[in-house]
Amino acid sequence: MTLLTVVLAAVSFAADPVTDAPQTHATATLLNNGLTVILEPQDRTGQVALDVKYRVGSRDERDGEHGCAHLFEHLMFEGSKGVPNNAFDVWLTAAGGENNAYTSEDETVYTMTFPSNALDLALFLESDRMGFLDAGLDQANVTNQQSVVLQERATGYAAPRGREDDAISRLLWPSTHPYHVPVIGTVADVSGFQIDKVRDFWSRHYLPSNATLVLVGNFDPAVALEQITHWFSDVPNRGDAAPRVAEQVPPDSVAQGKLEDDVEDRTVHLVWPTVARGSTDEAALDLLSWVLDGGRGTRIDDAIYYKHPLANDWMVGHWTRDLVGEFQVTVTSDTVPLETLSKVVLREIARVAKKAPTDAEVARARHTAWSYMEDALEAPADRAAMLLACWDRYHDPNCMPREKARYDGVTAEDVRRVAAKYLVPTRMTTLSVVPNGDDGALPGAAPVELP
Amino acid sequence: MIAWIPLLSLAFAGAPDRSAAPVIPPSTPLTLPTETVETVRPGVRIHWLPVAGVRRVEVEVRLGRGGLWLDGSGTPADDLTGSLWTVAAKGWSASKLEQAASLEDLAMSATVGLRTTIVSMSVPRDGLDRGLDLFDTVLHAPTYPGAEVSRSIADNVQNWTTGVPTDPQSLAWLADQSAWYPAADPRSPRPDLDALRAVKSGDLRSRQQRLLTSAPVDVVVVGDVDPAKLRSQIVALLDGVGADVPAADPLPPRAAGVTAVIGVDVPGADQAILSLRTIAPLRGAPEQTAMEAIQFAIGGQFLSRLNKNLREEKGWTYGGYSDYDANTDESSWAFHVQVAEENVGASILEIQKELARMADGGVHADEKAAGLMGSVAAWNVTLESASSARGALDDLIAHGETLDVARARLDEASALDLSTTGPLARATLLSGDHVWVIVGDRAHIEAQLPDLVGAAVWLTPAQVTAGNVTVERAP
Repeated sequence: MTLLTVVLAAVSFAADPVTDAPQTHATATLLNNGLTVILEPQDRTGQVALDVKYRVGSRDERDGEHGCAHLFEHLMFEGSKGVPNNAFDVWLTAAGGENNAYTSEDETVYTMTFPSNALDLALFLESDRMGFLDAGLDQANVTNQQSVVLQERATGYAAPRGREDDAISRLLWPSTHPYHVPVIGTVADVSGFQIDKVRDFWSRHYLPSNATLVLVGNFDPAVALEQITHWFSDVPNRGDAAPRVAEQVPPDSVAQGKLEDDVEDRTVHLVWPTVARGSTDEAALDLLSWVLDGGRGTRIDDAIYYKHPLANDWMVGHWTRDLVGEFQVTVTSDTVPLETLSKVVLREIARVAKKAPTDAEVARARHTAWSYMEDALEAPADRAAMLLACWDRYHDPNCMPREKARYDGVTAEDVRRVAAKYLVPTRMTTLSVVPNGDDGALPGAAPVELP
Repeated sequence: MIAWIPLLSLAFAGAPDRSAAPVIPPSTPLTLPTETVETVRPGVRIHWLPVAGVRRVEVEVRLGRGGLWLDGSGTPADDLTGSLWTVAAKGWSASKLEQAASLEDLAMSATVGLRTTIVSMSVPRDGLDRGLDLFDTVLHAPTYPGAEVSRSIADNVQNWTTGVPTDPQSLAWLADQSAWYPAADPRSPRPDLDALRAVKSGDLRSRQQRLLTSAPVDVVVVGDVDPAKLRSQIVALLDGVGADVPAADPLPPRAAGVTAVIGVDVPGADQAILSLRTIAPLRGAPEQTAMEAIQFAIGGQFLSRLNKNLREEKGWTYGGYSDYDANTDESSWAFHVQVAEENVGASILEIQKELARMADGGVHADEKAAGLMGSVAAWNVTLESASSARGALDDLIAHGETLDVARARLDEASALDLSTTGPLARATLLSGDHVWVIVGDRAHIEAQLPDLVGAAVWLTPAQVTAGNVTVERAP
């Protein structure tokens, strides 16, 4: 039997105008069952990192399935045709390997690291659950992992301020939006997920054509490609996944919510919807977040802490997802009212929106963004994640020069413009988190339910 | 631009055999890096650890004294001397220094411990010269501005008064440590807010200057560097560092003989945190390797016996883990897990069953083999970046060990006689010298405890945070 493959991308950045971006040297290959394979050998250590990403997340859940993409992530470790229950971890651990996984709104990613001599084992494990998971599924495993997932939810919610992110999802995205229900889902849906639904979910989403496999580390790429081709040769091409939902956020979608928690301080989150991953304004919004919150001498940091001691804790961040991103400012204080904190933050944002930051401010922010990316290329596991991100963004695993150019191209005026365009009060959602029984939430804030 | 290349055909022999896991070929023998130790002058050594291909260079100055030398115990002033050491320096305001560090991608930090002080920096290789210049100034001439000191004191007070009392994980850790160590033990973490509020900037500066004269001094340099080219800069960095101070006395042994059950009452909580701490062999003791095998099998990995039981079989927890804290002065083993309150009693019972099963049967051969492979992989991972390599070397130096000791320990693990692990588990995991901590709603938990671990001493979060944890010890 022969498996046809298509080499999708090779390395060719010699002529790239950006010269100081670190180079990666990955190749991408499409197997004829639809699986995309990205390889980058790296022989600094004897380790290999393997990531498999499936383009399925909580946004793909139907009514009655909320939380099931994440529950399914757990079930992927419970056995398949050639891998008995628990054997996935036992065998990989015995080989000196480790694994983990995560589920987001857009994707589910399975990660492994292992000594290079265990590559066949790792590929056997991944191919078996990609092609033949249904043979290993049973209701007992589903029931057990339902308990584990519900306990995972309870553990997170029991931590101080552990419900905030999920509350923001419910506030920020309208009830019809695919990001509205948090990834962890609802208790009712997670509890009600039965074996027939598991099989249906797997058959809809866990398709080779809906997956990308990345391998980084100590291997010979030609031999590794042969091994991959071998282990995935009997994983059938089951066609393409159904088109994904792509609903947009209405521009006037705003809400004010509150949570009471076992805390002794108060926190306010100011959140704005922004742009989808890969959009033109994404980099400028990233840099705006560091202009506001990048340490001493940056706008919000000085205004609420270093020059005026108002806050105990704070954070500014911009995150993008496939459909839309969010820009968030979070401030905590045990003495200063949330209204005061909000006014100070909005004043600083308005200053940037009115007058562009200095070139020095933007240069510092750009440097911060870039150093994060350079450090993420160091270890095979992080590097595999970067290659995967490159593939998602550009269909090119060697995107570092483009990524650097993306940030280098942002001007101070771009930063001002995105602040003025996106971070406006009429698009702002707020969440107040206050001690139980405390009346210090922002005016008009209504309790947020997390069923 | 994506380069599209025509179809490529790859042939292979038959469909995969999925009837069994593929045989794993023997691994390449692990090659640990080669550390070079150079004595610059009496009491001052440089440890060179070249790691090819890594982006950053890490430089750590490890001074041979800490809070015990300064005060006879750890104090809030020690903590602030460390945390504010790298914030501002002569000619560099805090704002200017932070901005410069951002542009150089330079990270600096310092910690003053009980017995040692560590000041370190991390910088990309192409910025090493500028980074070393800045680090030199910060190492020798920190300024401890009054505003920074005041702000840091306020943050620490706030953390102890509103942060820790509302964080169940922090409460569990604090109760555990406060019960494990007597109040007079310098390792006991009891906070002293009055002492914290009384710290002055000038105190910190004089402490820093005194610590800089302490010895021995070990400098760790890790990265893709040529020691011959870098040597003069590192030696210059050490001008005035280290004096002829006698080696530090070891910490006193921990007072043994505690059998305690501490409950921390958090009314309204629906989750409970359980932790168990017991005695364990000292670092360097003949039993250390056997204890590491026990640790791996009982709670040190995803399908350890405890996590498999409580998570994969019962579904009671998102995850439980253990750790073996091996030191030359005292060691302990601990397990931590969070469960719903209705499962507290049943979970304790299962934990006790697994500990007893380990004591009865010891570590199995497959667990030993997996642990060995994990150790090799762990060493491989430490060489992936300069910071992870520094961390591994730093851990060895902290305990007076070298990479040769690490190599020998891997060999010992391979030759471990499994029949020794059961008796060792009985002497440690089931030792009468132990502390249980349960954090949760007393009203829902208390009745589940007596038959399992005995009656608990119940405390409020405020009592725990104030250090009011007193337990009796056997003479």
